[in-house]
Amino acid sequence: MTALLLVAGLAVLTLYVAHQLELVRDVGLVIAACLVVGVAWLAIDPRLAWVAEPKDDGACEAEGFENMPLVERVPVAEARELLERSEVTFVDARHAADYSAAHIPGAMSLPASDAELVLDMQSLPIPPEGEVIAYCEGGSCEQSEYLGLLLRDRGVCRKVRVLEGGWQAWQAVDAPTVSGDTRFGDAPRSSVAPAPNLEAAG
Amino acid sequence: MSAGEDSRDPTPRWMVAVGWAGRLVVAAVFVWAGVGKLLDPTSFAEDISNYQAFPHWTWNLAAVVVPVTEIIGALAVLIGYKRRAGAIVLGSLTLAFIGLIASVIIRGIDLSCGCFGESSADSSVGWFELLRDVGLLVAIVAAYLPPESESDSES
Repeated sequence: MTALLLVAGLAVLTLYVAHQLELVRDVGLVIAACLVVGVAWLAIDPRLAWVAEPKDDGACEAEGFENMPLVERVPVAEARELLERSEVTFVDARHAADYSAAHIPGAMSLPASDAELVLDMQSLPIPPEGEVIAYCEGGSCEQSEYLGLLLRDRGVCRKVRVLEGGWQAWQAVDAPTVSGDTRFGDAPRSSVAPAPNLEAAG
Repeated sequence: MSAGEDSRDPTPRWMVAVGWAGRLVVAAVFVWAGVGKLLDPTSFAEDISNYQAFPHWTWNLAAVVVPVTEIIGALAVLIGYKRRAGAIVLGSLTLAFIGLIASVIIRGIDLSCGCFGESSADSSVGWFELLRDVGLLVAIVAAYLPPESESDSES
């Protein structure tokens, strides 16, 4: 789609300027100047810590997770399969009350509003296998995306994705849910000490 | 600008006026956008990565080349040296932006635009950004249209 629009636009432009060779030359000059200045800037500017580099202690680097897209979407159906095979840890970005009312089995509650604070104090007891899927209420979910970035930033060396359509989409297909107040690890795999009261932190 | 000397090809006054309006708008917007990005290229590179449309080796390159292009293009349009070439470059860039924003809306990705170097979580890309860029394209066309009759062209 993007490429199509781009090609169409460039084609129109090209047709229009095709008989003006001087203009074509000038455009080439301008583009060349921009590239030269840009590359020179890139070489000189010390602030440009390459974004592709991991920002944490490098623990993720060894495992090759540094280049993983952070906010890739995972469709509900796929997430459900992963859940059935216990190959995923869900992280619930919604408010604690919503989490208590109902959530995806095994999900950890980490409300986006105090996620940063919580992660400052402790690391999430995320099992070492499988991937991590963040979800929130639904729609174009900013919160789960934020959470995904945050988790990645705090050294969760795992594939972190965002549940497409969030909680609403999960419910819409009658996927399994549980209710309750367990904050961390009401999953079958929980061998984790009871978590501190997160509300007190926020 | 020296006026009235070039009598071969008299440009209508309205076109000169519209052209100047377009040039000023284009120059202001692109200098603002380019400088904003260059002040913090790292977060712009992150914004680029969020578009999920480019391989990661291009992120840092684009994070610098795009704002530099915006500034050089804006200066060309404003000063009048290589004005039409600058307008074409900026127009292509804006077309690319429009395509990107459209693809982001279609794919349902929620991300910060990065358009002006700001990287705040609460400014996400949507129809407003699309319309704004279309408006910008109109200004670029206006800046392009007046013929290069001044001393900036050798022929």
